[in-house]
Amino acid sequence: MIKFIIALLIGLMSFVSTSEATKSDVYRDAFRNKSFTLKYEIITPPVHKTNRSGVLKYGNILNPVVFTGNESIKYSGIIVVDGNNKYVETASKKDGDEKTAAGICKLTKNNEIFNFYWDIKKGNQRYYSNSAGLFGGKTTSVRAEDGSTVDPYRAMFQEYNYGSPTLIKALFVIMPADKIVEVPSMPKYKFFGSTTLDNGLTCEDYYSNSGDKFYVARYYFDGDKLIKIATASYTKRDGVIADYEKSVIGITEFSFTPEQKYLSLPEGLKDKTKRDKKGASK
Amino acid sequence: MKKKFLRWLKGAALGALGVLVGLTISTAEVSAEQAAAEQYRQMFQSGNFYVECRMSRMFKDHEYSSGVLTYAGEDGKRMQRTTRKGFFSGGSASMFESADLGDFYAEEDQTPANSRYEDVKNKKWPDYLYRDGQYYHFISTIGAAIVGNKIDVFAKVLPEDQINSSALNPKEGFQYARRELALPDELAVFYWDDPFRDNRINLPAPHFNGSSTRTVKDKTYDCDQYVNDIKSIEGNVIAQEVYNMLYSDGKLVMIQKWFLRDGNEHHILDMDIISLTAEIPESAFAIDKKIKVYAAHNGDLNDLVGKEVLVGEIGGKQK
Amino acid sequence: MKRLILFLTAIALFCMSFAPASAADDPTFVMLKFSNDTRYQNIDSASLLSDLVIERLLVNGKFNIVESMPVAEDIEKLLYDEKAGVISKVESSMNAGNFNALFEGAGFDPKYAESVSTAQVGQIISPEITSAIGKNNGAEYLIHGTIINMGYVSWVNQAENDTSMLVGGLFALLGHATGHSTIENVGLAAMQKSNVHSAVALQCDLRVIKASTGEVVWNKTVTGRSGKKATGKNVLLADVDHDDVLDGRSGIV
Repeated sequence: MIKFIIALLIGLMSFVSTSEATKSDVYRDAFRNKSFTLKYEIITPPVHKTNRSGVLKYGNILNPVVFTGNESIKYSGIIVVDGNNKYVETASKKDGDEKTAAGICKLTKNNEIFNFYWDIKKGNQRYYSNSAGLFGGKTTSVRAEDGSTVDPYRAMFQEYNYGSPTLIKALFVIMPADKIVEVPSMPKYKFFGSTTLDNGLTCEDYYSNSGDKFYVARYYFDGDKLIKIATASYTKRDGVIADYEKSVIGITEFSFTPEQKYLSLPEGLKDKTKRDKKGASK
Repeated sequence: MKKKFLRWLKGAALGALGVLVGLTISTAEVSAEQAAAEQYRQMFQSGNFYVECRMSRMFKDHEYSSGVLTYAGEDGKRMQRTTRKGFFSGGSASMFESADLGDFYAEEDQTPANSRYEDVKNKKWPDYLYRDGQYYHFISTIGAAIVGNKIDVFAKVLPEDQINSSALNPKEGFQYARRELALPDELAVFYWDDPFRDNRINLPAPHFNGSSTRTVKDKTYDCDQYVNDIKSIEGNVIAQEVYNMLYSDGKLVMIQKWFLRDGNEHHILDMDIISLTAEIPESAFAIDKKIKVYAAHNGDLNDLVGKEVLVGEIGGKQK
Repeated sequence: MKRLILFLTAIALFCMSFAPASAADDPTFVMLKFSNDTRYQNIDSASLLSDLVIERLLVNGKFNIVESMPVAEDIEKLLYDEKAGVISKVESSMNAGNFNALFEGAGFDPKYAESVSTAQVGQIISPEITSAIGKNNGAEYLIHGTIINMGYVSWVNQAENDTSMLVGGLFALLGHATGHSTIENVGLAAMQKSNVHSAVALQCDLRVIKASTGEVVWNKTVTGRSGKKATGKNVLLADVDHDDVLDGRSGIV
């Protein structure tokens, strides 16, 4: 009887198709284990649709970067994750002009969130914050966001927030879908297939189709190394494409070891956070 | 497939664990809601109600910040007034709504998380008002320079058909108008279909999870519990919101909200009900002084050159 | 409105001062209607500005402008629709078993501009679209502009003051729009009136496109304000949204 049951179970199991191993799996594991360093550049930004808020230069707060979505401005970033500590940096510069480089940084450490910036002055990277408030200008002291230790909702939403919306959409393929809060229109990617290009690169294709919203993503590998991600998505209304987006992201580095130097405040920035008796920043 | 199944199983087990154990979740001893719950539902759905409550944001069981909130609805009108001090998170509704669903939640939270502003105590005007097809935002100025250390207030008005306009001046705050006028989650347990509420996130209404008794600060209350499951993309429960509605003598007197995730329980807030009634007091929509009302800037020439157009006054002897 | 027209005329003159000198063999140009990338959609500034610029170009005589009015084709929309068509190829790609037709095609080639308003010198805007417009109007080059920002702004002379400020009318200090409805006037005391200048300003991206190839051959961002002539030393602090700065949204894709 037992042998019969075992045989039946084995038979049943054979109907459950095991998922094919893919080159993306190790990267998927890095996100699940929350241990990695990722550096990227945005090769093709999404289409710049409108500039509704009229954002222009920021005077002296940031080295002026005019937000035109101008394709001569190059965007890049760094993400370092070590458990619940995380560093997210997004940077921009005019192509070929290092002097215009500027970055915006967010460090989450021990549940406290620090925001600070950097730019280039006389060839040196200089960190500062504007913790003195909206009109206070640059300072070398930084304070954790009010209540950043307090709000578990924020922690839940911020856990997989890596700053650049373009990057997050591209990483959805390898982010742990069982840990991310679902909101409508999020893609639920399925593996479509692999192919090898004439230049020797291997590609893994993924897609998500939820009625009127369609996503596709292609992960490019040089051997086993992830080097590029391309994504496209569109919404159809009455059979016609009503809206679309696409992007290409170059992965300049992806290691499974968090680079610890990014998980502390940079030298020159002092922590002036006030904390209450329970340790909450205020 | 096998990995996926095991992950689902783990998620289901965690979800079940959350329901079975913990201080916050009750095992239902009585399965019916308090009678007053249905009365509150009908009251909110009629659109005529008055609520005043003191909301205390909790952190590790001590009060982190607090404020008094007032909401009123009458014959299609709606108002909201707050007096807050220090950091205040608007609760789960605001977190979800600020998640910028168009870009999932890559955009940062836009709730007033870092507000350091000392509020105007005992103010007798709303923050937001909706009436006669228009939204009003009342703005107080405090401090030096412009108005010479006086506290002053003015209002901006916007027709409702422009509330979703992309041309609105974001600094005038109308993008928050509907969210601020909507009942907070804790009260929306009775009125999840509040027309001012933005349910883009598709979080369903909290479901009734049973009745019991609870002791809070040495007092024992009848407790109706409601639970909301927050799910992942894969459909497993990754967190829960728990609302304990505490009744005394058949009336709702307090709401406690908890957030459960990864086996941890977070006491989010306490809401002490000061008043919850279908009888709208005269003071609800009264504005005790004349306040100048200016047209909202909406991408037109006045907006461009920063010219303010006075459209009238509100308050004083007139409502 | 009169003030706006006068201001836009000044900007048009200013734009013209940056326009490229025509080549010796007198190439033909046509101007496309400018696009407006700002939230000031209720002012028809794009039409006004393109009308004024073309008027000035005609008077100037430096350029062989073949149409006396801006051409009606909305090149932005034409390009957007074409690219949407490329994206829709994904479904036929799936039938082929992989997404090569989509991801390895022209739609993902970085030498092609994503949109007209972001195109840079050397990039190509769809030759199918630009050559059709050129042929229809008998022009070898297309002139196009995008208004990317406008507003009532203040600025300080960078040499004089290192503090950033936001001023403008009585209500321009509606900072940090929250349900909280208060304004903090911190920093006003630091304002040194003699350093602060206020005016209406406009920022525009101009470009010249070779119609036959779609290549962007010239591109310039022009900033101007009513009143004083803009100089490189002045730093514009228009409509600064400090929320974006603090929350890290500024200029980040």
